[in-house]
Amino acid sequence: MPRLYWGQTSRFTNAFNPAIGLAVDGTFSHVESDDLEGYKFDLNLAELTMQGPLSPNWWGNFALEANTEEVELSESALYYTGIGERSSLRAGKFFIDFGKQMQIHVHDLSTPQRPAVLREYLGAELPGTGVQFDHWSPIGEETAFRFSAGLFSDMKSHGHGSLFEEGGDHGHGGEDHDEVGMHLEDRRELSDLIMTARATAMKDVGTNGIFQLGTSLRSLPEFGFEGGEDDAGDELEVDGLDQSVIGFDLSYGWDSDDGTKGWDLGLEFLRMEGALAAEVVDDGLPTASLDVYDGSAQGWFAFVEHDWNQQNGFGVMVSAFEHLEEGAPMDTETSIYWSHYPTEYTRFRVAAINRESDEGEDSQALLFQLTGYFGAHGHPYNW
Amino acid sequence: MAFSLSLPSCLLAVLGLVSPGPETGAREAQELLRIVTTIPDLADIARRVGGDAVRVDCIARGSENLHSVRLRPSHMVVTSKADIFIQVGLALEHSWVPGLLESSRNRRIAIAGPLNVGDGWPGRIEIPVTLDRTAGVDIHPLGNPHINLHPGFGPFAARKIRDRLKEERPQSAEMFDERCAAYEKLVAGHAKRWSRISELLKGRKVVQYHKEFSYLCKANGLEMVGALEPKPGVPPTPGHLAKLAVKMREQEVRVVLHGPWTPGRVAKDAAQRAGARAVELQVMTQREGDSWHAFMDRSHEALLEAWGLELQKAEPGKEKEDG
Repeated sequence: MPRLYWGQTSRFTNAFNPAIGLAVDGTFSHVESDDLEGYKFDLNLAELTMQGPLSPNWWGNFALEANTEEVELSESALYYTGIGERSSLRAGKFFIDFGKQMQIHVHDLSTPQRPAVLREYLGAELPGTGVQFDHWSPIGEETAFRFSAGLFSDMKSHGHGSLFEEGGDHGHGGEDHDEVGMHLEDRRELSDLIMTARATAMKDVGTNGIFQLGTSLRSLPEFGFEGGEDDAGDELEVDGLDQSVIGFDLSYGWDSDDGTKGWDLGLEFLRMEGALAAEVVDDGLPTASLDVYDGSAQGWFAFVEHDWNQQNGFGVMVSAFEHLEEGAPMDTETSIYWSHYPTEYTRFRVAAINRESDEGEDSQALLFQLTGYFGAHGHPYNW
Repeated sequence: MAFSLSLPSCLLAVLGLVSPGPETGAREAQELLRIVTTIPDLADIARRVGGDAVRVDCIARGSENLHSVRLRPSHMVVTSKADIFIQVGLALEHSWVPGLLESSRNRRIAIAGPLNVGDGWPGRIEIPVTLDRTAGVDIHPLGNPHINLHPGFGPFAARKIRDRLKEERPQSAEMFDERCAAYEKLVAGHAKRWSRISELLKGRKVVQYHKEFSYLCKANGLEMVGALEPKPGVPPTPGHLAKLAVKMREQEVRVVLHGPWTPGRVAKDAAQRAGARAVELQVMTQREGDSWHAFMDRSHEALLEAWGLELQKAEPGKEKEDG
């Protein structure tokens, strides 16, 4: 559970009107890789959030993200909590419940970027449109067990925060792969809708520690790849594919008696199976074809973070994964980062990132990030 | 025989992870009222007023910054089973209580709401004129929320808790009245000594790190010259500390008060610079084996000691307690 579970959501809460907030996140970075080199300023996002109760049994939230290129509704959902003790039903567009991280927006992460394996297999951010049932139950006095199950018709990753791809991020698991994109039929059979599930247990360890264990699944039973048209004017597309991602996560957090110092450690393993990616095979002929890479790939990330006082934290994150392409070359990304909070509502971060690939495409980046929060900023997510 | 099965219960039954069902919970509720409090001060007072009729669990440890408390699984568990959730209110626990209540999904609390002991607190201080963050980061729209450091807090909170307990258990109203009256009498005994200490402290000048001792200072007639934080929630800056040191020397401030969670070294350096001394005070009752009135005893004694003062003779403040 994050140190401030709800962030500053209710700093200026209002019993009737939604709490309104704005977050601004920008970076100045230098990247050196085979494809990219140079300095760049990025406005990652200016995000407007609103959330609040509609009645004792209903609750809702809304998040609109904008940067210099696009405006996107990243979340808009209603929650019904009147179906029983410790249960809720959520409907609308919201971030999927996968692992410890995917419900959290990139700008709210304690790491400078989404871990590379998550970006590759699920996308930098992955909201879905659908419904999700969620329930938790106590086991004894110090353990809580939670599970969720979701059904979605639409799930498209969008991304900011990845430094090594030109123009932002791409995600094989969610959206475009080079010129080949993932395609979901607008209307499908109920059994063909995207499914997510998560089960997790969290337990007190002593008086100052928390241990959490979890497993997650995302299944795409029916989708296709499309790659535009070939020179003969024929559409390049393959349908009737399926794909699943399963994850296992564990984490441990500890804080000092006065709450000003702490350690957080985490590890997450992901395995992806099915139709992983596709590429256009063009031999110079007028006709081309889509070659689907069917198989499995796996990867992991681990991090250690230390808050040495209320204003400063230091962390190291390593992520290694098999690329979603033939041969599954391995990539390893290592980030070292220092986060400084001049105040509760302002964060300055410096990060050095190194990425090494089996294919010899190594990249380095130096990142300076500034984030500011106005009003009652916060995103709902489950632990 | 009627059966009541909910979807979550069925799913949990399949998983073999069924928790005590609602029937069991209802039986327990008739025997013991389960109370969760945000701070140990309220836990102590609730136990004294509720006696054997209540089981009280507390969230905060007693040493952390109350504006940010790390929530734990056990907090969610006890909150999900609570009949009454008690907080100070006035936005003191604002950054974590809404999340705790939301995630614990206790429908009883969701509908009834928490008991805000601070509602109706007389003499609120440091109420911001405008809700503008140029005036600071820790802006509390209802004023300084650290009322648990005021000598009148115990009896005030006890009466609020008594009234709520009487609503929940009207059949035990007489017992709650008696226990509340006994508690007020106990605190009144301690308050005599606090008043005598206050006479000695009156008019002395003090600086705080964060304005969490304002009620304690005001009640003791201490003159608050400033704070190490230039604005509430904004860490001290070199420029501000330099100006404050000059002001402290000019006004002969001898004591800088700070809490356990604030950087003691900064407070010590700032105090030494102005020829004063830094004194760490607890900001709430401690979790194990402590009581609110004992915490207030310690706070007053610490203030006496900070100025090197002594009361002339022993007073009944340490007299017998009711346990």
